Amino acid sequence: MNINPGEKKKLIIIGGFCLLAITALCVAAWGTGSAMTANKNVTGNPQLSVTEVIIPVSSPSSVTYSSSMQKGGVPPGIYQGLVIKDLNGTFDPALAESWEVSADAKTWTFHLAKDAFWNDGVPFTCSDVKFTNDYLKANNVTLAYVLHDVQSVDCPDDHTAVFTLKTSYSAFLDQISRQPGITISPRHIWQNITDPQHYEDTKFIGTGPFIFDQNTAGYTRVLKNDAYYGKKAQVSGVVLKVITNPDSQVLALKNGEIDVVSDISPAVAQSLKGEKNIALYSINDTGAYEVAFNLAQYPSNIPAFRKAMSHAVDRNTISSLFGTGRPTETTFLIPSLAGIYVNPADVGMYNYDLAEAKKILSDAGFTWDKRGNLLGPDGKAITLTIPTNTMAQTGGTDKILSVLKNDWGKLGISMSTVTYDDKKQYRKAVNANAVFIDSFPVTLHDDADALSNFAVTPLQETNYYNYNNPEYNALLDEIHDTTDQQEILKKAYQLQDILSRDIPTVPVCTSDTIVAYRSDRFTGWDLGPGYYSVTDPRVLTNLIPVR
Amino acid sequence: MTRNILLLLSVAILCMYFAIAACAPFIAPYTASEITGAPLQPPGNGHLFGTNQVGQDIFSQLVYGAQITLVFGFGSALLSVAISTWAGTVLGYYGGRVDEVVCRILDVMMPIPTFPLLIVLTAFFNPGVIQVSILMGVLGSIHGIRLIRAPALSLSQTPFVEGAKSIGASDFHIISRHILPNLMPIVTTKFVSSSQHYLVMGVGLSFIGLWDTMTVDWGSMIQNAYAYGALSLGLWWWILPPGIAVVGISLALALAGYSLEEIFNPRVGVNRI
Amino acid sequence: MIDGQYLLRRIGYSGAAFFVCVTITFFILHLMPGDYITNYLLSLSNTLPKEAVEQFYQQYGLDRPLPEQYMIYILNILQGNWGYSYQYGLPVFPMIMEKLSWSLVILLPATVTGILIGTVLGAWSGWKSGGKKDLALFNIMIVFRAIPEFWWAIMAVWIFAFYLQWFPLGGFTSISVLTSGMDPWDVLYHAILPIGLMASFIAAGNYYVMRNSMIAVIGEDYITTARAKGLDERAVLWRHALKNALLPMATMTTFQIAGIIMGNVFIETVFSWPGIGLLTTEALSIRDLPLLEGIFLLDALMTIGAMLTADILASYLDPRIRMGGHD
Repeated sequence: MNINPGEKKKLIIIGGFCLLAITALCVAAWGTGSAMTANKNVTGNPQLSVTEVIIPVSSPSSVTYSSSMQKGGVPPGIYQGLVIKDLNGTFDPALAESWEVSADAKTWTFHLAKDAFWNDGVPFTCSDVKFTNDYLKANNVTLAYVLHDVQSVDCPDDHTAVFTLKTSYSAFLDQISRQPGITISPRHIWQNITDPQHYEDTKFIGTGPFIFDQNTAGYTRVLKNDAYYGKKAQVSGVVLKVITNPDSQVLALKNGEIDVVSDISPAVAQSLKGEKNIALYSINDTGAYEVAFNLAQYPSNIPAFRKAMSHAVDRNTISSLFGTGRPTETTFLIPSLAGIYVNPADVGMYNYDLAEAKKILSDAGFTWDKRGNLLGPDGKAITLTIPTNTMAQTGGTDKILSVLKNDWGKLGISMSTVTYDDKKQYRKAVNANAVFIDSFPVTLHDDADALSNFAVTPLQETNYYNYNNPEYNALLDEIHDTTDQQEILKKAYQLQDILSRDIPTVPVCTSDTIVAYRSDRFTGWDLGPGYYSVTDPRVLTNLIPVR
Repeated sequence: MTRNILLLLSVAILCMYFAIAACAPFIAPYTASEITGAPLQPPGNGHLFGTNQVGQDIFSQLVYGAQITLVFGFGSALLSVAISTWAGTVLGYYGGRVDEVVCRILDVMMPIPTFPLLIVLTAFFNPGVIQVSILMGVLGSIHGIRLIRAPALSLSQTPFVEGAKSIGASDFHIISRHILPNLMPIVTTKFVSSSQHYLVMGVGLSFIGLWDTMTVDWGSMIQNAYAYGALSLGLWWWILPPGIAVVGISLALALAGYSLEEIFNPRVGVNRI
Repeated sequence: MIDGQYLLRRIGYSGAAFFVCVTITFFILHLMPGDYITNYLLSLSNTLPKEAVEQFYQQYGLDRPLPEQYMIYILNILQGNWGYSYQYGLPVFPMIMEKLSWSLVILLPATVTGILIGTVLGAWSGWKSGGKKDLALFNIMIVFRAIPEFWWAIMAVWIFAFYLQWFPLGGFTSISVLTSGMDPWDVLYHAILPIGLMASFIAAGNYYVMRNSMIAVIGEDYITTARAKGLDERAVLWRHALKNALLPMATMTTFQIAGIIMGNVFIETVFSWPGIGLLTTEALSIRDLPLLEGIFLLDALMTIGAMLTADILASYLDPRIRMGGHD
């Protein structure tokens, strides 16, 4: 280790240079980095007003995709579709003020808002609507599949858009407005862009109630659009703040750094109840759970097994474990959202009765061995492996499974679970096992078209249940062919009758989303069921600052 | 003197952890994933540390979590040290072509960043603590082989090994009687320090949700507590027990490592990055 | 002084190592279960339209055989084209650089102060080795280093940010950034807690190496000789011991700089600091392959560069190592 002084000197010089070089590199990197982060829109309001609502988001990427039109990750309230989906199979006007459909459900005519403008002052016309359809398809943008059924869009005048579909499709409005849906993109911005997948948009020119302001260092801000043609916002802007950890969001709410936290657990909500300046409300039925059967796998391919199991799901206990939501007594649709579409004849079919389940099993040729294990008609023991997915609200699935394990154990069925981290693997496992637990966003439970979940159609060659009933498929086709509401309702009832007979799935319960907000800052959050997100533009435009 | 006492103390603590892990089914009132009642209950009513956000018993999770954490920490360290000792000794003792080729391969493999690689590999084996431990052991041994090979090389050139060779002792005899015993201090120290390193890393990865999210271990317990209300609601009985458990074993291993190092070789430090 | 042939050989190994790294990461990432488009489409709705999936595969060349994809990838990185992120649609390299720059806001000061503090304390401790103060400091450092950094971070957030409210809960600026632009003092205020934690952690590690090195140097003959000559203790410390004891720190430092990319993923997670660590975890969970490849490529480059530097430095300092520890 002993070296001569000359070498030491050199070493020190080299070391010094290294350190300097690294420092320089870092400073340079930081410089370019911060220049990139601050893509400011100069037209924005320079004042930070106290009437800006601050909402946490859990991931930086949820608000900062800056390329790829129609991809999501855009701040709320900027882009709009033609219509907004509402409860009970109805739609609210957005860029389309009114619309009509031909009797064969093939030609859809939208009358567009006449006083709508893009944020940069260019008037919104039908050419933007036509452009959106043509451009998505011509450039193979991923979401083009949403407009798969559209043959062409025509513009008889600036404020009328006519969609001609390839086949009759009465649920077309649902298709374009339900997640992911399609928003209209500005023609004058995108028409010169040939590579939309790799184009970096920094302006986000839209037509909505909010205008993009800036995206800086963990914050994204949109400002109120004073020229908006519809209901104008009463808050001066919305700031999205990145807080990755859900519990830190609650801490920040308590400290007053943010104005609202959505999706908190019932236990956390309970403890927030006494807090000063914090109020709570619950958005009912935002998630729905079901015990689903894969009809291609034994023993779920035996109708009696499914029927028996439908009486072995203890909804009330599961619901009480959830602490929110309600047991679902219907075949698939959620009454609070689907209203008239729920067939009253099929409500309360799956009552919890283990004795009845046992009887159905033994009638169908199932037997029990000496130790009480259930044996199938072929004499072999019934064992189930239930795949679960960590990303799909593990907490809820776990609770259902813990109750099922107990009850189905009493019936002599041994159950095990395998959890998959990845959605693709999970889907594969679902296809290879007889039973799975699924959770759906409620937008898939609210009208007649939601029943297409169980159908096999040209667009949907298979469903997760491997359920393929020609009668069911034909009925659904008929629903798509007609626009007569009475007809649709009648057929929806018939579909539910078939479901209650075939039982591809047993609905379990819904869950609610609990929201906590600063009552000393804004009111007007709670708009009732269906408004499942606090960044829904309809919620944001309803907020009123508290003096 | 104090070093010996510290060493004994840390070994005692480690034994305690192992005992808890081994007797988990007898100590824990519930299984780790069983839902035992209402969520977020405070301690009491048969729940020593209350329940977590889904209603699982925190104490039972803590006890069962010891198994996973210890398997990963010690399993991968054991494998890594076993491979590096075997390969290092053989290479150092025999030398020659094979040695040269293996050294070249190691030279190429050395710079591969193991940490990100580990994270990606866990995606393949999920759930699979055992598989990930094995992979980690194998990956970690790349760095260990060099560490063992150098002293093995110099040992095989010492007069007493030369002497043993000249009187016709078998290679196996020489390695097992003369070389391995002299390597033991460095091997033991390396084992203890790698166990601590892997253990803390496993818990950390599990905490950020990148490592086997299915099994209950201390990292995922801390993550649950941290994400679902322990901090904002001040539920210290939820977040502190797994944290203290990790700190305890990590501290015991660190103390054991440093004490061993001082006892075996008071003057030379082992670079552990 | 440096053997040219040795240098060439080292550079050759580094090149080979780089290709091995790139190859391994490419195949491992492409064979990883799950893919981006499935996750993306399922996050939008419950359906997986076949045409959208196929279109995506075709757009990104994922429908070609893996070896062909590999050849294209290698050709691209050789031309400096690191590809586009699936998620953001942006070129990967500038994205990584931006996130890296934010990571460095914490890492740079933390590493520098950590190394300085660790070295000074370690040198002092080693010089006074065996004394009561040395042992006390030594034990404190062992305890500090043994506690996982994410645990320190959680506790720090809980105590200093939530209960005492001395520091912000996370993020890297306060909301005033929206009106008055980036304020370096504000960023510093947000960064102080993570920097402090990182620095102490790095200090504890360096302390240990420095102390050992110092103890080793003190035992050397020339120190004994110097002392025997009747030199002032301080002179011995400054002129002989310290300078020699600092040598192993050179290697240590290069490695610390190499580990910088993944080094603070825990701190970034706890402090919601959107740097390269958070970017990596996010890219992993959504399977954004080009982004992951870019991050690992950069990581490999830095590690290999650091190893090369350390090797050359070491052979420069100690000719005995020049043979690669081989004979």
